[in-house]
Amino acid sequence: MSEPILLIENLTADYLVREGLIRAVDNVSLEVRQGELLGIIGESGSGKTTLLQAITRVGPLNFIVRSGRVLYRNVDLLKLPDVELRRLLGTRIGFVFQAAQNSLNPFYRVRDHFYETLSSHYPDLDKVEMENRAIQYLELMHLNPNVLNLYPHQLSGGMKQRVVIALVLSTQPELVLLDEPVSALDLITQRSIVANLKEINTKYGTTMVYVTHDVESLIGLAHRIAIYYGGKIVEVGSIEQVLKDPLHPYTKALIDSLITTDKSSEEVKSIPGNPPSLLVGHKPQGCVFHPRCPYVKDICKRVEPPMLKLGDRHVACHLYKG
Amino acid sequence: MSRFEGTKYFFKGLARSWTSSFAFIGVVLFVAAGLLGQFLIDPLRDIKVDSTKIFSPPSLEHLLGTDHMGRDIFKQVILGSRDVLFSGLVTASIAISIGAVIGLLAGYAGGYIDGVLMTLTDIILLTPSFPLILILTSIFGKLDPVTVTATASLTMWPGFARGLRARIIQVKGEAFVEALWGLGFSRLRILFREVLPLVAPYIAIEYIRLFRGAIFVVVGISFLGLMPWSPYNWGTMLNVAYFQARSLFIPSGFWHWFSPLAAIIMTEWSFTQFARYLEETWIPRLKAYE
Amino acid sequence: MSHATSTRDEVIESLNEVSVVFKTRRRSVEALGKTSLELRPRQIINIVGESGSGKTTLGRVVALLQKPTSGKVLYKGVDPWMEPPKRFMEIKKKIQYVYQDPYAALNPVKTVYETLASVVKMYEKGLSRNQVKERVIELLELANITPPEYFLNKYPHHLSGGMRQRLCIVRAIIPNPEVLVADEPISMVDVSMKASILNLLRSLRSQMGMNILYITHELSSVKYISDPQDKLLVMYKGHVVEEGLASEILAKPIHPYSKILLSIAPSLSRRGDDEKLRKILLLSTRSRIQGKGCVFADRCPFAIEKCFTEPPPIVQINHRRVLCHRASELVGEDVPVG
Repeated sequence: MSEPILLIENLTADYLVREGLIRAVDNVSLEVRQGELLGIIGESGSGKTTLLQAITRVGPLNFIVRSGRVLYRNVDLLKLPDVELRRLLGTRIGFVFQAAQNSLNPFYRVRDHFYETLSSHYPDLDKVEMENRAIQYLELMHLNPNVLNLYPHQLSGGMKQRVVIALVLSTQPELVLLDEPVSALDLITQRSIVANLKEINTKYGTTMVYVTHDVESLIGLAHRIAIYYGGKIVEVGSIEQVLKDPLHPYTKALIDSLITTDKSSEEVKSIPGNPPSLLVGHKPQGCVFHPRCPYVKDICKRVEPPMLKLGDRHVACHLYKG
Repeated sequence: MSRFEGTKYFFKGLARSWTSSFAFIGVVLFVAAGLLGQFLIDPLRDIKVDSTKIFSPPSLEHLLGTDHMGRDIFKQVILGSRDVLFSGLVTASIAISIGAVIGLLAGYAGGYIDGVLMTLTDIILLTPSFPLILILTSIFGKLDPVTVTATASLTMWPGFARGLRARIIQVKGEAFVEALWGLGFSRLRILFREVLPLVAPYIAIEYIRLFRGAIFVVVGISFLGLMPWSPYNWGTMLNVAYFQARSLFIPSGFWHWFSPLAAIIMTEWSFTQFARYLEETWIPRLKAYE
Repeated sequence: MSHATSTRDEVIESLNEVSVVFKTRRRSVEALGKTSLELRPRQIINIVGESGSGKTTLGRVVALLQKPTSGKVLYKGVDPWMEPPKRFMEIKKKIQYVYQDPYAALNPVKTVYETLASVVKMYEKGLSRNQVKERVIELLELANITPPEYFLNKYPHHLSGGMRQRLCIVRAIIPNPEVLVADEPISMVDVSMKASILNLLRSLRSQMGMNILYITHELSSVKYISDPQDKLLVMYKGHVVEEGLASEILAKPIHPYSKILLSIAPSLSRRGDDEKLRKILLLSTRSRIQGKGCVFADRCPFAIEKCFTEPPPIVQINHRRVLCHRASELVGEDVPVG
């Protein structure tokens, strides 16, 4: 579980809005280890969706990558031509994007979706083989194989999402990227899909990167988490370490603000202030969290803290020395 | 956004797009010509019949040349813009008023009233407008400008009414409308103080579009000779160029028919583009920012 | 601000066997099954359920935004739906509603000042311009939107989600309502700001004596907001499956659905790799065919044959009411896994 299957190095990407450029990914470096379930936690407006968009080039192409590399097994994904990237996305890397259940074609049965997906990436499979694979992955997602004959409108939201994940998994990727795959569903369904993903990760060793704002959904399920704030990764570590002993003041404030059953009401504190503007030129100088940080020092206002490695953890904060 | 910020934003946006800047300039020039032209140019003094200058080409003295009677074309175009401006204004104003009342009523009241109003709207919407105007104007003979304008506006309000109604229905379904009702605001107050400001930009932009359409209709009717307003009305100029002067068939008559036509096209284009610019910059700013 | 007018034990509003059925051309959907409820001052009534549980419908019936298809709603002994429109409105103003989406509940072209001032002026006539401004600032401070002067001429899109929701809440209390229905007030707000909204609701209960009907799908927030005497209703597919004191249900849930909800509620003390959690969650994904019995039968780990054929009774255990055939056996039982 130790070599990086995906290595993001100094990635910077902007996307264009009417007001100007938004630096949603600001010099981000992150390593994804083989076989792990890595959570990337970012609140709304932190820029986390752009991170996956910049890597996969799926969705509205209104972003510009300024610098950096994204190495997948020593191949820089950013430099790959569109055609080759798409081929990779259909075979070795899987991507479940936000509200993907809405991307199912209402005129196709589930069976047809599988035929379409599998035949375009694995042209050698015949129909029987494709159907077997479909059944295999549907069962993996705890779906009854007879959903193959159903149309999307006959499925509930949770079932549709499971079908989408099964579709992505049926191409047998070794790495799956997921962007808020369950946010529109009800609570038990949400949590059970995440549990399902963990089950697959444990059994088959499929590496997963799960981007969400809901850190609670990953408690008990992810291996490591990376905290995303203001376009930057501010802390990375195993989920137990980060939750029990947060290093970065933002992480600490975030965990303090979580309402969990084992906390009394006095122990829950909201974070004062507002999330930072990501507009180029409007970001806080120095450390992006300094306007809201209870431990702010003079250096925090001037110098951006570098990412430090402390054992198996990473943190970008002036409170610590490497 | 304060007024000052809004204005700044408006001009900044213009600066970003050539099309929008030209469109804005076009609109300004047209309105300026329409309002000021009549004071700067005295038809008796400046547009003189001169048989020595028939169809003369553009020169410093006559910027667009002269027509079949030796009259300055450029000055005619400028003077003509007044009629176009005012008849367009009247037509659009009548149309927007009728359309606004019906659209607001139908959208906000809903139910039976909505049904009745929409049926009426559809009937007029489906009737081809130009033939209708022609029939009406020819029945009454050569009419005065007021009646023609009124008739034209009657055919133009349905599209707008439908669009406004759709927007009202959408806003009506928003949570804040129900919230305000629950707080005790009367339905009327909500309509005028809360909903109307929200759809005002849409109404303003549609007004510009209606204005553009009105110009088209007015010019068209004048061209067909059905509206004896003034000889410098662009439509009438085209009428004269085509039917009387036969300038289409004489090479040197090019400027005679081309000038009013170009003026019409440029004005139409400017208004269309300007409306589009407003739509792209004004309305999105009202929508959700997350 | 003056306090609510009811005394401690007086029932402000009551729902007697109300149900709501939505009829379309093809079929009818029972959004809310027969439910009864009493709302008292200085009380928080928590309603927990997923989408489709009927919790929003119940909230809207309480807020007089939805007329029940059967049963009666009484406000201090009077049925508002039988009153003339003017009297109905007077009652309606005393029961305010906070929406899930704070952005949709605000007019995007009105400033913060205009939003609050228009309501202030409606309820406090004859105030000078300065007095209105002072009131608005008072409200903004209560909502912790500071510095208030800075935000007066800002528009909703300038505020964070948490601030918008707090703005909606203080707007709702201007009429001095006796009941405040908060429908999932924190679900569209960032994690780091949820607590601030719940704190505001708590203070409205304790300092202004209101009854708060708090609707949510997050059980952990119920624990956060409730005092020992506050009630909790757990709903599933239109029915109340468990009802009682919040503190007691959170400690010892009886209905299987409540048990599952509690076991998946987030807790920081959970280990990194929680097998039991995973197993519980995967249990809930099985789906058998739904028959005429209990609405929860097809997802219930304790279901027996009877559950699929006979609708369950309401079982009373001390102060708890549970809609389950096996209620008395399940007291103290953990959700079985493996």
